[in-house]
Amino acid sequence: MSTPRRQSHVLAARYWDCLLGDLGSLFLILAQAPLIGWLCAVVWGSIESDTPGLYFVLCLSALWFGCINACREIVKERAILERERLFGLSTRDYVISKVWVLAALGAVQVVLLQGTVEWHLQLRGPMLLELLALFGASVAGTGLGLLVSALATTQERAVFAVPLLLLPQILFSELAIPSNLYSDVVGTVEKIMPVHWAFRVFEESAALEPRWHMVALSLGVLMAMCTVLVGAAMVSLLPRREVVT
Amino acid sequence: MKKAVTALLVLSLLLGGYLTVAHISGGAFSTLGLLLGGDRGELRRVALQFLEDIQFKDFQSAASYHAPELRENVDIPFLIQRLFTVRPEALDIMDYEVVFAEVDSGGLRARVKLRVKVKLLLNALINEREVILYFERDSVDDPWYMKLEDSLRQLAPDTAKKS
Repeated sequence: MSTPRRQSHVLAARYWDCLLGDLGSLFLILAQAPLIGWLCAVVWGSIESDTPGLYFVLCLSALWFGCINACREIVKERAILERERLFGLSTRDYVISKVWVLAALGAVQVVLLQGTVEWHLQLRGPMLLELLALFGASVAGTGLGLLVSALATTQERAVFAVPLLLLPQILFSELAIPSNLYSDVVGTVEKIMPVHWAFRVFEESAALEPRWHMVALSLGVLMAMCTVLVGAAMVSLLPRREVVT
Repeated sequence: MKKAVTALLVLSLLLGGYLTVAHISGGAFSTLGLLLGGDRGELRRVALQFLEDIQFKDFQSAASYHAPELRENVDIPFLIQRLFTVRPEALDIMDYEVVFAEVDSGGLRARVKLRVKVKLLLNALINEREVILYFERDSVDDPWYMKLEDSLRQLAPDTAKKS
């Protein structure tokens, strides 16, 4: 096997080729973004204005894209991974190669998602900043999906786990109850939800007097979450020591 | 060399693709200063120029977007006062953006919705107003004229009709 740096390049190229080999699936993956964007535009177009609800839906969609794109990507080739590991495949480079390709895919999806909404209805706040927040949510979703994929034993179980990860993003948010009614536990749990931080970027940048340090903080937390989730996926793929009895 | 040419080609394609999308969207995305977007792009530009004129208190230029026969009589400061409920000298327009622009099925009437962030200088309060500017033209070859004066003019009550 080649050097670690080369490994991630080769693996990413191979993964990319696999994606391009199934153009139908790739089209479906990419088409869901403008479709959801268009649905948002239809709903919020009826009041001709954007609201915090729209920002939340966009952030949740971005996380969903990342999560659903990634949730089967390790478990479906687990046998190949185990075999190649015997020949020196680096787990870290394997996961990094997945993140690179899935992040690129997520970037295209969030551009399509927000582009479709902005086509019909200009959102408050700088578009590039909001794209960055959506991209952060998408990469965090990718990390979450890869972690699920690394832990799951079958593809079906990985897919079933995705709604269980997304529903708490809604439950522990201001969409469920106003934040001033949160108990301490709910307030704390909300802070570990990636959607919350992406939403904060939207809310702050759309405010009459944006607090840019809060925008920077939210983006920073989002990046940290991405790193932790991808790191957790790597750790969960480390070879387990076999116990001989 | 081959890599540089490929990169240049890809960048050109991306830029061309982006500008095409910006044009088809009617200027919903930045056209990088190019006159793209068709009628909706033109309306967006006119609406933004109008607000820029108001921002810099150039009322003569702001009146120039109206039909020629109305320009002399358009009282922009009065209209601003009606729109923002504050005298122009006490108003600081901080920021503005187009929410959407749409043209009717006949292509002769249009409206542009804007979001305007203003600061009321008397009490230093910042708030946001949504403004809709209406436009019309006689034929699809004519330029767009603003109907701001018409839509905001305080109409004298018609005494012949019951209220």
